[in-house]
Amino acid sequence: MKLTFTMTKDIHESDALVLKLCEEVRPYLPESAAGSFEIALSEAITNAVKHADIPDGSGPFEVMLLKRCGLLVVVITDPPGTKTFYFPKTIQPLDEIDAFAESGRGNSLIQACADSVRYCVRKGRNRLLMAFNTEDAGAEKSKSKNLEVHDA
Amino acid sequence: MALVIRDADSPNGSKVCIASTDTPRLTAANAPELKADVTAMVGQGYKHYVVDLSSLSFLDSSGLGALVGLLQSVEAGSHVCVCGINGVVKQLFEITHMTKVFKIHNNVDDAVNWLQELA
Repeated sequence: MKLTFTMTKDIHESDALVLKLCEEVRPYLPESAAGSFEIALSEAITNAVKHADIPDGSGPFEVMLLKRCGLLVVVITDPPGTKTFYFPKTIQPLDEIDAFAESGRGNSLIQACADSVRYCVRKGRNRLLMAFNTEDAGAEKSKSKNLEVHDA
Repeated sequence: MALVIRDADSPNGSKVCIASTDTPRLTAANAPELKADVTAMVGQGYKHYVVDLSSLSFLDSSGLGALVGLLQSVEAGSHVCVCGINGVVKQLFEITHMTKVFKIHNNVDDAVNWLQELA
Protein backbone atom coordinates (compact mmCIF):
# COMPACT_ATOMS: atom_id res chain seq x y z
CA MET A 1 0.00 0.00 0.00
CA LYS A 2 1.22 3.46 -0.85
CA LEU A 3 -1.06 6.48 -0.65
CA THR A 4 -0.13 10.12 -1.09
CA PHE A 5 -2.14 13.10 0.09
CA THR A 6 -1.51 16.82 0.00
CA MET A 7 -2.57 19.55 2.41
CA THR A 8 -2.25 23.31 2.62
CA LYS A 9 -1.02 25.43 5.53
CA ASP A 10 -4.52 25.69 6.97
CA ILE A 11 -4.95 24.31 10.46
CA HIS A 12 -8.71 24.03 9.91
CA GLU A 13 -8.14 21.46 7.16
CA SER A 14 -5.69 19.33 9.13
CA ASP A 15 -8.12 17.35 11.22
CA ALA A 16 -10.04 16.11 8.18
CA LEU A 17 -6.80 14.60 6.85
CA VAL A 18 -6.08 13.00 10.24
CA LEU A 19 -9.50 11.35 10.19
CA LYS A 20 -9.04 10.18 6.60
CA LEU A 21 -5.65 8.60 7.33
CA CYS A 22 -6.94 6.93 10.50
CA GLU A 23 -9.68 5.35 8.40
CA GLU A 24 -7.14 4.14 5.81
CA VAL A 25 -4.93 2.41 8.39
CA ARG A 26 -7.72 0.84 10.44
CA PRO A 27 -7.49 -2.57 8.70
CA TYR A 28 -3.75 -2.80 9.33
CA LEU A 29 -3.20 -1.56 12.87
CA PRO A 30 -3.98 -3.50 16.04
CA GLU A 31 -7.03 -1.95 17.70
CA SER A 32 -4.88 -1.12 20.72
CA ALA A 33 -2.58 1.02 18.55
CA ALA A 34 -5.28 3.09 16.86
CA GLY A 35 -5.26 5.78 19.55
CA SER A 36 -1.49 6.12 19.50
CA PHE A 37 -1.54 6.44 15.72
CA GLU A 38 -4.20 9.18 15.84
CA ILE A 39 -2.38 11.13 18.56
CA ALA A 40 1.01 10.98 16.82
CA LEU A 41 -0.43 11.79 13.41
CA SER A 42 -2.46 14.71 14.70
CA GLU A 43 0.53 16.20 16.52
CA ALA A 44 2.82 15.70 13.52
CA ILE A 45 0.44 17.31 11.05
CA THR A 46 -0.28 20.19 13.42
CA ASN A 47 3.46 20.76 13.95
CA ALA A 48 4.08 20.83 10.22
CA VAL A 49 1.24 23.22 9.48
CA LYS A 50 1.93 25.54 12.42
CA HIS A 51 5.70 25.73 12.19
CA ALA A 52 6.68 25.35 8.52
CA ASP A 53 8.31 28.56 7.40
CA ILE A 54 6.98 28.89 3.87
CA PRO A 55 8.19 31.98 2.06
CA ASP A 56 5.45 32.36 -0.49
CA GLY A 57 2.12 31.30 0.85
CA SER A 58 0.64 27.95 1.51
CA GLY A 59 1.73 24.35 0.72
CA PRO A 60 1.16 21.87 -0.46
CA PHE A 61 2.63 19.57 2.16
CA GLU A 62 2.90 15.96 1.12
CA VAL A 63 1.66 13.21 3.42
CA MET A 64 2.54 9.69 2.33
CA LEU A 65 1.27 6.50 3.91
CA LEU A 66 2.93 3.21 3.08
CA LYS A 67 2.94 -0.32 4.43
CA ARG A 68 5.96 -2.55 4.25
CA CYS A 69 7.87 -5.09 6.34
CA GLY A 70 5.25 -5.15 9.08
CA LEU A 71 5.28 -1.40 9.43
CA LEU A 72 2.92 1.41 8.56
CA VAL A 73 5.02 4.44 7.74
CA VAL A 74 3.77 8.01 7.59
CA VAL A 75 6.02 10.50 5.80
CA ILE A 76 5.21 14.20 6.14
CA THR A 77 7.20 16.45 3.83
CA ASP A 78 7.17 20.23 3.94
CA PRO A 79 6.40 22.16 0.75
CA PRO A 80 9.24 22.96 -1.64
CA GLY A 81 11.01 26.15 -0.61
CA THR A 82 10.24 25.79 3.08
CA LYS A 83 13.11 26.92 5.29
CA THR A 84 14.96 23.82 6.49
CA PHE A 85 16.04 23.47 10.09
CA TYR A 86 17.94 21.12 12.36
CA PHE A 87 15.72 18.99 14.51
CA PRO A 88 16.52 18.42 18.17
CA LYS A 89 18.61 15.29 18.77
CA THR A 90 16.82 14.62 22.01
CA ILE A 91 13.18 15.20 22.77
CA GLN A 92 12.02 15.75 26.33
CA PRO A 93 10.15 12.74 27.74
CA LEU A 94 6.56 13.51 28.68
CA ASP A 95 7.20 12.88 32.38
CA GLU A 96 9.87 15.60 32.40
CA ILE A 97 7.62 18.32 30.97
CA ASP A 98 6.21 20.81 33.46
CA ALA A 99 2.73 19.53 34.26
CA PHE A 100 1.37 23.08 34.13
CA ALA A 101 2.89 23.94 30.75
CA GLU A 102 0.19 24.90 28.27
CA SER A 103 2.27 23.91 25.22
CA GLY A 104 5.39 22.02 24.17
CA ARG A 105 4.14 18.43 24.28
CA GLY A 106 3.76 17.81 20.53
CA ASN A 107 7.14 16.27 19.68
CA SER A 108 7.19 14.32 22.93
CA LEU A 109 3.78 12.84 22.14
CA ILE A 110 4.94 11.83 18.66
CA GLN A 111 7.96 10.14 20.20
CA ALA A 112 5.83 8.37 22.81
CA CYS A 113 3.10 7.19 20.45
CA ALA A 114 4.97 6.09 17.33
CA ASP A 115 7.07 2.93 17.33
CA SER A 116 9.86 4.73 15.50
CA VAL A 117 10.44 8.37 14.54
CA ARG A 118 12.99 10.04 12.30
CA TYR A 119 13.44 13.66 11.24
CA CYS A 120 15.57 14.60 8.25
CA VAL A 121 16.01 17.01 5.39
CA ARG A 122 15.75 15.44 1.95
CA LYS A 123 16.20 17.35 -1.26
CA GLY A 124 15.98 20.58 0.68
CA ARG A 125 12.68 19.70 2.35
CA ASN A 126 12.01 18.94 6.03
CA ARG A 127 10.67 15.45 6.45
CA LEU A 128 9.23 13.50 9.36
CA LEU A 129 8.90 9.71 9.21
CA MET A 130 6.84 7.83 11.78
CA ALA A 131 6.51 4.05 11.81
CA PHE A 132 3.88 1.90 13.53
CA ASN A 133 3.87 -1.85 13.91
CA THR A 134 1.03 -3.44 11.97
CA GLU A 135 -1.33 -6.24 12.97
CA ASP A 136 0.79 -8.74 11.02
CA ALA A 137 4.08 -7.22 12.20
CA GLY A 138 5.30 -10.43 13.85
CA ALA A 139 5.16 -12.48 10.69
CA GLU A 140 6.50 -9.81 8.38
CA LYS A 141 9.25 -8.66 10.73
CA SER A 142 10.88 -12.07 10.61
CA LYS A 143 11.41 -11.51 6.89
CA SER A 144 13.12 -8.20 7.43
CA LYS A 145 16.61 -7.82 8.80
CA ASN A 146 16.34 -4.11 9.33
CA LEU A 147 13.26 -2.49 10.88
CA GLU A 148 14.70 0.98 11.20
CA VAL A 149 12.69 3.75 9.57
CA HIS A 150 14.53 4.66 6.40
CA ASP A 151 14.08 7.69 4.28
CA ALA A 152 11.70 6.75 1.47
CA MET B 1 -17.99 28.46 21.39
CA ALA B 2 -16.33 25.20 22.46
CA LEU B 3 -17.86 24.95 25.94
CA VAL B 4 -21.43 24.90 27.16
CA ILE B 5 -21.68 26.17 30.73
CA ARG B 6 -24.23 25.70 33.50
CA ASP B 7 -24.24 26.20 37.24
CA ALA B 8 -24.42 23.35 39.71
CA ASP B 9 -25.86 23.11 43.19
CA SER B 10 -23.19 24.75 45.20
CA PRO B 11 -21.62 23.18 48.25
CA ASN B 12 -20.95 25.63 51.03
CA GLY B 13 -22.60 28.45 49.07
CA SER B 14 -19.83 28.59 46.51
CA LYS B 15 -20.59 28.48 42.83
CA VAL B 16 -19.68 25.42 40.82
CA CYS B 17 -19.33 25.68 37.07
CA ILE B 18 -20.13 22.65 34.97
CA ALA B 19 -18.70 22.99 31.49
CA SER B 20 -19.17 20.47 28.71
CA THR B 21 -17.69 20.43 25.25
CA ASP B 22 -20.01 20.96 22.32
CA THR B 23 -17.65 19.51 19.75
CA PRO B 24 -16.43 15.90 19.34
CA ARG B 25 -12.83 16.93 18.66
CA LEU B 26 -10.65 19.51 20.39
CA THR B 27 -7.56 20.19 18.29
CA ALA B 28 -5.24 23.02 17.33
CA ALA B 29 -8.02 24.31 15.07
CA ASN B 30 -10.47 25.06 17.88
CA ALA B 31 -8.15 25.24 20.92
CA PRO B 32 -8.03 29.07 20.72
CA GLU B 33 -11.83 29.08 20.96
CA LEU B 34 -11.67 26.78 23.98
CA LYS B 35 -9.06 28.99 25.60
CA ALA B 36 -11.26 32.05 25.09
CA ASP B 37 -14.21 30.19 26.63
CA VAL B 38 -12.05 29.17 29.60
CA THR B 39 -10.94 32.77 30.14
CA ALA B 40 -14.56 33.99 30.02
CA MET B 41 -15.66 31.21 32.38
CA VAL B 42 -13.02 32.04 35.00
CA GLY B 43 -14.16 35.66 34.99
CA GLN B 44 -17.66 34.71 36.16
CA GLY B 45 -16.87 34.16 39.83
CA TYR B 46 -17.09 30.41 40.13
CA LYS B 47 -15.27 28.68 42.97
CA HIS B 48 -14.94 25.18 41.50
CA TYR B 49 -15.05 23.78 37.98
CA VAL B 50 -16.23 20.47 36.55
CA VAL B 51 -15.28 19.88 32.92
CA ASP B 52 -17.35 17.15 31.32
CA LEU B 53 -15.50 15.58 28.38
CA SER B 54 -17.88 12.65 27.87
CA SER B 55 -18.90 13.82 24.40
CA LEU B 56 -15.30 14.27 23.30
CA SER B 57 -13.80 11.59 21.03
CA PHE B 58 -10.42 13.24 20.43
CA LEU B 59 -8.20 15.74 22.20
CA ASP B 60 -4.74 16.86 21.09
CA SER B 61 -1.98 18.67 22.98
CA SER B 62 -3.38 22.08 21.99
CA GLY B 63 -6.76 21.26 23.48
CA LEU B 64 -5.07 19.82 26.53
CA GLY B 65 -3.07 23.04 26.85
CA ALA B 66 -6.27 25.05 26.99
CA LEU B 67 -7.52 22.84 29.84
CA VAL B 68 -4.21 23.26 31.67
CA GLY B 69 -4.75 26.99 31.21
CA LEU B 70 -7.89 26.65 33.32
CA LEU B 71 -5.82 25.15 36.12
CA GLN B 72 -3.43 28.07 35.89
CA SER B 73 -6.23 30.64 35.97
CA VAL B 74 -8.34 29.57 38.94
CA GLU B 75 -7.92 31.14 42.35
CA ALA B 76 -6.14 29.38 45.20
CA GLY B 77 -8.38 26.82 46.90
CA SER B 78 -10.41 26.16 43.77
CA HIS B 79 -10.72 22.68 42.32
CA VAL B 80 -10.84 21.72 38.66
CA CYS B 81 -12.41 18.31 38.09
CA VAL B 82 -12.48 16.49 34.77
CA CYS B 83 -14.98 13.74 34.09
CA GLY B 84 -16.18 11.45 31.33
CA ILE B 85 -12.81 10.76 29.74
CA ASN B 86 -12.75 7.68 27.55
CA GLY B 87 -10.82 6.14 24.65
CA VAL B 88 -8.15 8.31 23.05
CA VAL B 89 -8.93 11.23 25.39
CA LYS B 90 -8.22 9.02 28.40
CA GLN B 91 -5.07 7.73 26.72
CA LEU B 92 -3.83 11.29 26.20
CA PHE B 93 -4.49 12.19 29.85
CA GLU B 94 -2.59 9.10 30.96
CA ILE B 95 0.51 9.42 28.80
CA THR B 96 0.86 13.13 29.58
CA HIS B 97 0.39 12.39 33.31
CA MET B 98 -2.60 14.74 33.49
CA THR B 99 -4.40 12.14 35.59
CA LYS B 100 -2.12 13.33 38.40
CA VAL B 101 -2.81 17.00 37.74
CA PHE B 102 -6.59 17.05 37.35
CA LYS B 103 -8.99 15.37 39.74
CA ILE B 104 -10.63 12.76 37.47
CA HIS B 105 -14.18 11.50 38.04
CA ASN B 106 -16.40 9.09 36.15
CA ASN B 107 -19.20 11.59 35.60
CA VAL B 108 -20.56 14.99 36.58
CA ASP B 109 -22.58 13.67 39.53
CA ASP B 110 -19.50 12.02 41.03
CA ALA B 111 -17.51 15.22 40.64
CA VAL B 112 -20.20 17.41 42.23
CA ASN B 113 -20.64 14.92 45.09
CA TRP B 114 -16.89 14.98 45.67
CA LEU B 115 -16.93 18.78 45.82
CA GLN B 116 -19.88 18.70 48.23
CA GLU B 117 -18.03 16.29 50.51
CA LEU B 118 -15.12 18.70 50.61
CA ALA B 119 -17.33 21.54 51.80
